[in-house]
Amino acid sequence: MTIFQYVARRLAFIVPQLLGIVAVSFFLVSLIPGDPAVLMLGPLASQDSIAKLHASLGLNQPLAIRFLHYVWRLLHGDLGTSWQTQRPVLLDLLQRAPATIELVTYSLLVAIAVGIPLGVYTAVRTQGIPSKIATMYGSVAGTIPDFWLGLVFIFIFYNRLHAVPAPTGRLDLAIPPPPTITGFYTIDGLLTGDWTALGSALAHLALPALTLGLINAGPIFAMTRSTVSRMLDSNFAAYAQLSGLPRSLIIMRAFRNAFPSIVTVISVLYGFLIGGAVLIEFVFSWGGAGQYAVQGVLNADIDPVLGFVLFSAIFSLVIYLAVDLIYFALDPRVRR
Amino acid sequence: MQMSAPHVESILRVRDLVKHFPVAGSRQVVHAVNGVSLEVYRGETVALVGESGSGKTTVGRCVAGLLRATSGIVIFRDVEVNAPSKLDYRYMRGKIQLVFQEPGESLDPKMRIEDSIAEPLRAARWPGERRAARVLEVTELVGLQVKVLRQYPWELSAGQQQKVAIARAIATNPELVVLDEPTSALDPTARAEIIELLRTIQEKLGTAYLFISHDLSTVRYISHRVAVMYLGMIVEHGSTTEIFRRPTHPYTIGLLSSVMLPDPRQTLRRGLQLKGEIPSPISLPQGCYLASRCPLADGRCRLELPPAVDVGRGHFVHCFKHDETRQFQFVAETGGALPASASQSVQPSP
Repeated sequence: MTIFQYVARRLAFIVPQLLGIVAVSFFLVSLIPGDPAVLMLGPLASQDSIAKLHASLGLNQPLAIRFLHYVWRLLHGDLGTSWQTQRPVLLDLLQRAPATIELVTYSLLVAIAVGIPLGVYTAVRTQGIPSKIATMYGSVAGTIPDFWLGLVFIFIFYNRLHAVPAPTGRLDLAIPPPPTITGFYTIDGLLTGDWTALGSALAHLALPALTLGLINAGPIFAMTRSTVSRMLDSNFAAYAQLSGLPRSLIIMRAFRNAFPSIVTVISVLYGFLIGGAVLIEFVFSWGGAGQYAVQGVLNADIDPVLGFVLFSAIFSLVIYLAVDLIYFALDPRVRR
Repeated sequence: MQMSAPHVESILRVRDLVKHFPVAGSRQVVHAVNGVSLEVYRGETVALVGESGSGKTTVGRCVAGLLRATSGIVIFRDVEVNAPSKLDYRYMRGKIQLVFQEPGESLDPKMRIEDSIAEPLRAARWPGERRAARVLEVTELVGLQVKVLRQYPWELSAGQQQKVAIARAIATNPELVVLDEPTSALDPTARAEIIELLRTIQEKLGTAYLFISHDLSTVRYISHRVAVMYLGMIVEHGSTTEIFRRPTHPYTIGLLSSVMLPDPRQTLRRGLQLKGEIPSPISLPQGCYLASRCPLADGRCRLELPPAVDVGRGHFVHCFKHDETRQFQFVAETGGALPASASQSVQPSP
């Protein structure tokens, strides 16, 4: 099987997957209490005008018909309109998604940089105080609420130490964003040589990325530790040890064999963080896609919510496809 | 047919080997090995038999240097390789080798077969060209096709994988190979092939084997001497012919009664059934470890640990009642004959 056939087959599966996700989320979102017409017109609106708005929004039609309408519009690239921003959802998302993706990507890099070395270290040295501390951190990381840790960090690094700028978005108010190429301020700043914007963007990213990274290093740490220690306990590692091969080589090989499991947990985490970063987006006024979706939920603004679900689903599926391609490249077994 | 080792040069001596494993969350220990002594001579096969949990694998791992003994010594060629304080793999490089039970798990799934076979050579610092030549040589010796060298472990059958493990184990010309149940994960055809291969290799290279197994018919076929283990102790040892013709320890008799031997000429005069299960290795019983299961046990058996008794012809047994066990022994008129397929005697070359 060539790589093209493989990708084609995977892409063919993505369409029904997305349709399923849209269907489930459409019916779930319809369960959200709150009438958009009432919220849009305010508490003083007459029954008559509410009914009129219902009709114009199509809300008086059966759910199934509304779903078919939604899918029909979706096929034409129309994600609907947000009544709060009065803009097409697609435009809103295109504007906000890079903010979320940028935050989540840097957070994931922090999580990897923390989780993998700690995991390997504790797998190799099961005894000793550093290992005990790392293990304790691993079990705590999964239980601390991220928004709380974010607030603690703001208190320490902003209020006390003044080491970072105020947690109010992605850039200082006085600094204009770099010319848009990708929408990621750090990359655009780098590409256009806008060092002021780049510096400010990085300074603003530091705390939220550190918060999310430290919290989400937990699963990466746990997976690394358990798979690497399983590989180190394996007979092939025992054999290498018996043959007299250096410990560092044995550890490297254990890691190489543990790598696919670690990549899997990282990819799952990446997809999860798109929605899972929302509280941090709120704490740092990030203006990302997750924040946009939550505003939608709170105000019965259905289209942004569905649009966000679709966006994060596509993002996850793309990540999974990328990971499968990595497996395809690394592991000849997949090719059969 | 007496299969005795032609060499008397001792290469491995194990004295009073004890290995305890800590029990997680407790101060108790698992007494896996409780004072095992054994000796392996050049070019011979010593079998270590017993039920699972008897500690035979642990002995093998201590000998191979994978486990640090709690006490006791393992001396390989006058060098103590397994002092409780240190484990020096460098000394043993290529001199003691190990073949695991599960061939698939003993090969790194990310490494090509040629790299797996070259691994001990690399560790022993063989130069590149000699290494490649040696890999080809041993591949041929174990009867594998050269094309498997470019393949990965999962592309091979279990029998082929075990051949790779054997090729790897003999690559450095070791004097001793510990074979930890090398055939129990294989189907009967592959098993027969591997056993035959091991005998051929011993014949050609004069490698000594410490053969760990619970498969008595295989043990009988391949080994020169047998040590029977029970609860971390050797309860009986002697030449293969002796052990199979004149099993004297009640445990050995029970073990032999429990299997169908592939020899119709050999019949049981009277079976000896052991009651119950193997006791917990965490709290060892007082006296003879078999007393609770043995139909012959009396008060003394429950109080004292029986010492080794020489019952003649290099046959030792740890049992107070060894005189009474005769009645349970096999009728073996033909003199401990081997299965027809094994009628060809193998004499290791000097």
